[in-house]
Amino acid sequence: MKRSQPNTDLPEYQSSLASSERSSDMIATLEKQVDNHIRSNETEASESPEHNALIPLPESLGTKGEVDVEPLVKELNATVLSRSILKHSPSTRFETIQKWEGVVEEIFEDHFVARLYDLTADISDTIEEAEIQIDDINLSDRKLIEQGAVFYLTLGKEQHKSGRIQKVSRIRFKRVPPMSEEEFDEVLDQSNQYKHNIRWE
Amino acid sequence: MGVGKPSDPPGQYDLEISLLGGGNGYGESVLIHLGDDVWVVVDSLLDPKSKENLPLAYLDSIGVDPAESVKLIVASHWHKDHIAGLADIVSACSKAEFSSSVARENSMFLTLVSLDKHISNPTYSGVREFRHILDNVLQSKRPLKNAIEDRLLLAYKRSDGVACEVWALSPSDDTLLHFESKFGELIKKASDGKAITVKAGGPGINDTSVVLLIKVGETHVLLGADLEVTPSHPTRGWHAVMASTKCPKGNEVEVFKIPHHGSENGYHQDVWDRSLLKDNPLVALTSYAPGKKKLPEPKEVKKILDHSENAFITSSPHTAVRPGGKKRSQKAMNAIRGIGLNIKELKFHYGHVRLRKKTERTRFSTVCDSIFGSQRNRRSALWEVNLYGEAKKLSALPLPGSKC
Repeated sequence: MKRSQPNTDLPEYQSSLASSERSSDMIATLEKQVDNHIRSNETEASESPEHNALIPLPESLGTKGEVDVEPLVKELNATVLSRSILKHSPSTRFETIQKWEGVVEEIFEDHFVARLYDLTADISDTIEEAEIQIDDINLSDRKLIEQGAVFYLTLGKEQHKSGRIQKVSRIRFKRVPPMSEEEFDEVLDQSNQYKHNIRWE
Repeated sequence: MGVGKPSDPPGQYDLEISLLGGGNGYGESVLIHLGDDVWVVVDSLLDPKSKENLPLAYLDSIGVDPAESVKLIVASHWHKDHIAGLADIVSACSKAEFSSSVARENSMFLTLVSLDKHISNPTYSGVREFRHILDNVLQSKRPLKNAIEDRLLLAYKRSDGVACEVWALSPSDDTLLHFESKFGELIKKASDGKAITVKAGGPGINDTSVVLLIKVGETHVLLGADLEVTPSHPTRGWHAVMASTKCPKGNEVEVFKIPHHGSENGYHQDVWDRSLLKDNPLVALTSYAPGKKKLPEPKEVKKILDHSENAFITSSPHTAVRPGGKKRSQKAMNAIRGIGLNIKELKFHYGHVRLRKKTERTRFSTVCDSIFGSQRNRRSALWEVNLYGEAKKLSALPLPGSKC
């Protein structure tokens, strides 16, 4: 299979956008909301793979933070992974069954190969490898797919307040906040310490 | 197939080359006994289940104190499957000097390592391991030796008068200059306030590999690390090694650790034609099965066996995976099946190829040398080969056309 760059302008995505400006606006709003939410938790996300916060939906899109996004999702050819994020509301309970930290190894046209490190307790720490379809990645995360990128893959059950139980999987790529000038100065200080205090031969 | 665990230490003047491998990218390490209880450790290997550091466990099993006996530690290059656990080795071998090609005085790599908290993948890129190593070297006030082509890293004379030397034959100046600019690009990105991901498996990092030449008297051993052939850059890779001043070119190398898991890119005809013994040199390698490729591939196995029947591998790459992932609870298995995740477990296949040769200088050996010295082909017969764990003869692997 031909190697390709992470692709956020897939043909089906573009055609979907062209066919429904309203849909794309709503999805863009949702994505922005997801991104903002993630960004506001970036430090926690980078330190703790356990982070599993639910993402409230904007009130303008539905009452009490719930909205039926199924038609939009169908239109965008998104998958259960995207749906699971879009459908979260404070009224659902999530039970984690299996969780991995993954690292992107190789990127192909429609999928990538990743190494998975088991974060679930009492299982031996051998590595697993999986093929993950790029379609299964939330649109806002697709730009983060690159060799070496770290993500979290969680499988679980979501119980809605209506009592309905749904099996879901989530993939979220890790984000690192940009450095401040002070932080970069600290990095340079550390680097100078190595440079001047190690006995180089 | 190898069996059991080794427990016998080498004799005082035995040269030992021990290659440990876990297959599937878990890591590899080489331990070298030069004589008089002087050891060199190259790279590291962790048991993913027990978390045991296997080079240290081997030394312990044969009664060697790493703090006293290990004099040099080399990070062959900066890939996780070579350096995971190396900080523990640096810590345990408290009198050993550390050597690396990328961590040099004035190198931008020092800044990159200092950035570890701001990199998205510090663990998987090996940046964090390197930071632990540098912190340890700094605290213990030990020297850090820059490994570069034609650089002598260790030299001493044994009690029997035999000279022992460890030379770095790579990387070349050109390679290091190239990587300085790569590191610079990453640091610039970080200073511009952008998040950075270090591409641990990115192209070219194998070019920074430190190829080692071990000389114990007249016995030569070449450790190829993961160095590859770079036809478009003749001043890098194996072309540069063959052009280096210290590279042996008189068919005198008796043992060769084949580079880069026997990949096509690691094969350089000149090494076989000019450096190694012409007839049946001893060669050893580790396997790897990244993505859809399994190394060594059958055609490369054939190529190696055409050169030497004395070829050994730490484990086969062909029994390396369990489709469907690890054994886990039924609930978790159902969840994995439920989303149709195409997953496989990369099994840990530990093997140990141990090569020993008596290198004591005696009146008898001097006489033998004078008689057989020109017949170098006989030298490989002087080596004792032991295989442990999943190590086996390379001839046990499938050849082109055969079923895996």
